[in-house]
Amino acid sequence: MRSAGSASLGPMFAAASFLTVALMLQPAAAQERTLTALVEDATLVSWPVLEELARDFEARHAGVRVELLSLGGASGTQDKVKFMLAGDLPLDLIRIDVTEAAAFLAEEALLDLQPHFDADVGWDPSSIFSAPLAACRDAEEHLFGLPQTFTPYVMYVNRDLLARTGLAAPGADWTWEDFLALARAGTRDTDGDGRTDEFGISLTQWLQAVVPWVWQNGGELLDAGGTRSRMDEPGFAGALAFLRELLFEERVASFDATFAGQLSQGLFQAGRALFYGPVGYWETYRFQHIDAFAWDVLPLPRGERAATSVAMGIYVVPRTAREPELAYAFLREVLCGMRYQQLMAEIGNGVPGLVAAARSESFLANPAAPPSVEVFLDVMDDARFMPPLANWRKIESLCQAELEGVLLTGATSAAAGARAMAAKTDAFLGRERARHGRRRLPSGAMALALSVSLLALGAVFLARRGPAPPAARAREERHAYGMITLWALGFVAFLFGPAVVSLVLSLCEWSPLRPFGDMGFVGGANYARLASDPTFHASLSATAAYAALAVPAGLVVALALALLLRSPSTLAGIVRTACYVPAILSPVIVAAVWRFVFDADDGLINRQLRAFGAAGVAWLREPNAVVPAFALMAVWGIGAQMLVFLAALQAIDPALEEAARVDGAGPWRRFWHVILPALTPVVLFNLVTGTIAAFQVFAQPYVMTQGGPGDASRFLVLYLYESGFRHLDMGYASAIAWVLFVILGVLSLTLLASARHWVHYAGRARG
Amino acid sequence: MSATTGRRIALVAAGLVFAVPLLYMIEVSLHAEGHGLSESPLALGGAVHFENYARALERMGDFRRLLFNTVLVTVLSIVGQLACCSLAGFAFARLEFRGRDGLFLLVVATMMLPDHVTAIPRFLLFRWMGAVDTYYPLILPTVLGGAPFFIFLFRQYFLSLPSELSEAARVDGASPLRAYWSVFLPLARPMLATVAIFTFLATWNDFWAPLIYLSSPEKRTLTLALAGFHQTYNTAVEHMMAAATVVVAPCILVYFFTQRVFLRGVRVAATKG
Amino acid sequence: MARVELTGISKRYTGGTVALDAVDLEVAAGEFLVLVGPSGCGKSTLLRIVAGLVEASAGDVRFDGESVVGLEAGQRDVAMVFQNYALYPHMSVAKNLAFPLRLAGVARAERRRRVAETAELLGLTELLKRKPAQLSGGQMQRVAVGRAIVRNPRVFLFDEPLSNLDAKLRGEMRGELRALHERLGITTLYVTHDQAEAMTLGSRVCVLESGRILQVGNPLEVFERPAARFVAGFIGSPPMNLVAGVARDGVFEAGTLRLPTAAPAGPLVLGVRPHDIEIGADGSEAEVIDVERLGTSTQLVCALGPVRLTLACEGHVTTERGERLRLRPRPERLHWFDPESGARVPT
Repeated sequence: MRSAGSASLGPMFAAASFLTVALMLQPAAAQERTLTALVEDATLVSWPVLEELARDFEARHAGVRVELLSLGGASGTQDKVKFMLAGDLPLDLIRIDVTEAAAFLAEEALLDLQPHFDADVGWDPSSIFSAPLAACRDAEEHLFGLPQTFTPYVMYVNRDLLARTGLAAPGADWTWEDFLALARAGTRDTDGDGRTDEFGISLTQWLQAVVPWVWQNGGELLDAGGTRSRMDEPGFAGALAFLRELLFEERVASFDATFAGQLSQGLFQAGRALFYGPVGYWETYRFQHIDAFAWDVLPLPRGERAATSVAMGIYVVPRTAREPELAYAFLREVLCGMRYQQLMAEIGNGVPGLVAAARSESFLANPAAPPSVEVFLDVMDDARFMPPLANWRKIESLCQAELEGVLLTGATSAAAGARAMAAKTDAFLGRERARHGRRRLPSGAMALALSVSLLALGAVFLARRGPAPPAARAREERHAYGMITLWALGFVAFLFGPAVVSLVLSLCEWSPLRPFGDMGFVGGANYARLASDPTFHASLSATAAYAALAVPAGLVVALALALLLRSPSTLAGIVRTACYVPAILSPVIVAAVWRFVFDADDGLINRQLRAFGAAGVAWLREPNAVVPAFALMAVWGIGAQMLVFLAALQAIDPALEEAARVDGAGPWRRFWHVILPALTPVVLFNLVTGTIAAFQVFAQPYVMTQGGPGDASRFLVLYLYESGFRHLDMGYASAIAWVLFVILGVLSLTLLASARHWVHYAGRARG
Repeated sequence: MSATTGRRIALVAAGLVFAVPLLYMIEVSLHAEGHGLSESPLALGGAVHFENYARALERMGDFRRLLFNTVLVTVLSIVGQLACCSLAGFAFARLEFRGRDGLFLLVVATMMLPDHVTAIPRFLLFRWMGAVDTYYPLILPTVLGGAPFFIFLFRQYFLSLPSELSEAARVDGASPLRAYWSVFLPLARPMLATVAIFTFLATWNDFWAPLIYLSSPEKRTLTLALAGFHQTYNTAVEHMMAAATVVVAPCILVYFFTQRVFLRGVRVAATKG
Repeated sequence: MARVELTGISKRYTGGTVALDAVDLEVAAGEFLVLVGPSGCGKSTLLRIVAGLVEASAGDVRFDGESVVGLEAGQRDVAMVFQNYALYPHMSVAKNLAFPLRLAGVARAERRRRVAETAELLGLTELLKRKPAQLSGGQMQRVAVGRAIVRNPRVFLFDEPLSNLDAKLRGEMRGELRALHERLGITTLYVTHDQAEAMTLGSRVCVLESGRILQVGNPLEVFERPAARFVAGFIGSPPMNLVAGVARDGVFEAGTLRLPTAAPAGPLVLGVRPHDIEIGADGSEAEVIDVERLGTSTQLVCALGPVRLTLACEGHVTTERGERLRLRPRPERLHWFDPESGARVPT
């Protein structure tokens, strides 16, 4: 009779098996020989050709399948490659930026290709441009990769505007003085409204674009060994001073619109800048459809000497490659083969690394290319690559934050900015050197920490769980444990276990490109580093400022809206929906939309401001405006809090308010003495959840500002992401995570503890 | 009288302020290609460019594939979330077992643990499982563990049902699991719907997990494809906004059709939280 | 049909609260026993211990001499009707009735037959397709009873099943329950806080207070010879007058009241039912301080110095407030209680 009591639970098992089956949706098992290459963006027109070449390759190599993965699409392509390598995905061939190579080499993540080259009888080093090839060598002069395409930084020029200046067109060896004269002549206020309409130059301002000026001025970024910065020397500061002069004194330069992401057309494309640069070949792709004016490229003007920088993509084989031979074959035959290299030139990717391709019609007679396309080849004599430094990206980002203060906002003088960059860089390099003395975390330490803490958790549970239930309740307890199993597994696997690992990690130094066992133990060094890391301080104060603005403002607006929407009506229903919808949008979309709202030139807000005669604010480029801008955006998304307030308002016993009304209380007093006290529990709820959310903001700054200007919007989680997943410093990132956790814990508990002073719980029968 | 009018004006103003960015998004999505933010289609002589949508979808890649992926991940996450959270919520609310209060305290405490603390080890865990670039990392955490807040909500909801119901079921001979399945789960439909909707929105909109875990183009989700618009060069504003509108639309539709359930859920959360 | 024996049942909660204190009770097979007492007296806990919903801290529950302590509620073959009916809101009446049968693994055809039979018996046939929310209070009550009897259990447990109904319906349902019990003859434990319900329904009444049984007996016995002061005050409406006084030399004194008593000297509590006080020429003098006219009877509240006595007169009397009367409690209807222990003082 009673054995049937638990029968017909079929639906549950059906659901369970559905889940199991669904989760089995794994990629198909790999075939015998599969070459996986992550070298191109599937959205490019060259993709079908690459696929075709891959099929040819398969035809030539029996039993081989080439799997092409797309680099494109994912925001932060360079990060993506790291995720994939860190994620142990089978990759045999990848394309990386040459500035990343040293970082990969430092983690021994790249395969030494020299033996393959040595064994390759058909290999003629002179078929590849020499300087780019040299940049593909490691400290032992071994080749670890081959160039895809490269581009030196050059100057784009609007020839129509140039003609209008009436000055002579600059020659190949024009100087800063020539440049300044031309820029002055090209700067005009065409409609006489007192605002400059045409600029002498639309100036690019990232480090790689700024460094040519430095080199031309006799300056250097780092000393030869890459151990000390030389940014505090006159050559460096002088170049910055020159650029500041262009921007803020001569006012012949506008910062480049592409700087903060491509929102609207750049000035150059709009025909409003005489020069544009320093910038690479890739812009020809964007400019090929310009028919309003004629344009061309020039070498950069020379200062003390001629110099420019080079950007380059290279193909490398990860050390973890399953098929290194095939990878090398594919690299030589396809990626650095004539056909594909020409194709790269044809689609405007850059100068092909293969000399023959660069000297072919595909590059020199490309209809999309400017008339003086050979400039890209000519300036290579004076071109230099960025220093091959393992932590180049980090130095770049440290400098970028300062650079924005000097050139974008103008808040910092050239000399002060240069000193700050030098100081930050030196401090960073010093810390890096200190790290080399790391001890290795004993193998098994992590496992030990995990098992000890799990055992401790289990012991606490067993010790504190109380006496066994009576026999009649035994089944209930069994079922209960069964029911919380899913949660308990998840708790251990995804919360508790990871928390322990992250705590141990925070005491270590480890790059995910290295095996898990190869972990350096640094003790409290990561935390000590946090204490002295100016970027972290900036990040912390930016986050705090954001929370301090966004949370109270959100609460007030949400409450005000809820009060407005309190009495139900059709209008209130519509407005409620309008106010709530923003809250259900992906932060990515919110960020995408608000970039346009905040755009300094054509954005919604600034256009309205200007319509009323007010000056626009460069919301995302002003260090003082960017945090309020994010807070404003957050206030836009307070729909959920509004609904919570609304629900709580509707739950207030109307008799309370009626009683107050009978007692002669006006609306304000009723709000203050009846409604607000009744709402305090949800105020607390919204306050705590709002604070937690504010401290975890990530997608918005990631999409909108990447932390800039300076470090003004480098909120904690963004910094965590950058440290862990971009700079591959998982230990440091874990330390940030724990500091974040402690901050949130302290804040939440303080708020909850303060609750008994100001939160009024209605007298319920039971708690 | 004038107070009511004032209130109405305030209402309309608030509604407009909140609606404008979205309307702006749609407006920009209809701009002529390649003209940035200027030349609004609403301006005199402006033209509306619906073809942006076709182009945008095309540029996102295989749109049907993206949609399928996103729906797959979303549906599985919802199922997982509902199963895990309702079971645990029921046990914590309605069953007696040793350690119950301590374990529930853990559930509540983990609500305060920021995801990012566990993000890196989780990544390592999935790497160790060989599950990077699969959907496991996106779905498994909802099936196992779920969101502590939803466990909390389910518990509160089950507690609000009369205790005699579980007594009646016990006297009638139902095991705890049976009582959950036959009596309490059907009664929790409003809560199930609420959690389903919240989970739908969270998964549909999630960016971090797909960003970190998904690599193969054929596995990407919509938000990831959308974020890709930013950094692919030659970004066309109008295409991006068209794509954003497409990605947003299902969320808004779901909200419209489930508004009542949704509001009830929020009410439960607000008054029980 | 089973004989139910409870021996030494205690229930202590972790906080130290004692809900039940060594309760012994035996219910004969087929008997209708009412557990009555004020809220918090432990009667519902006792019922739930019998049902297996609550575990006793000590003591044994036996059905027909066999202990059921180790058995789950569902294994004890008991059926229970709850105060709020506890119908499954998402199931139709038919499904509600069939649910326990389904769980017991009864075959479909048999299930259908028994549901139809039960519905017929309770007049629910028309309502089988409805959901509980579409039923009136009385109908829900009937469904709840139906769900209990459809299983033909060994023991019926009722937990204040009528308290959510209005007075008229309650009266009707009392009749129906009585008839049903006569017809099915299943051992029944019935919990109520309403003494009238206890008096009219039970073949025996068990009065509980603070976790202890004060008296078990047939309704008349409990009414006529309350074993304790609490029982005296609890059973009967209007409630018995309880007057604290002192016995001295065979005379009970309280206020101006003087009554002969056989009780030993010392503090004493007099109990006298309002119906057992006569108005006459002799007796103690009292002032009428309140008159309550209930139609068929009239209640007078009288003051004898500090002592208050309520008396009930048949029909309508013309007495007004402020009148002075002489009261004479009928000597053969007096109850005496010990003020300390509350126990009846034998006379």
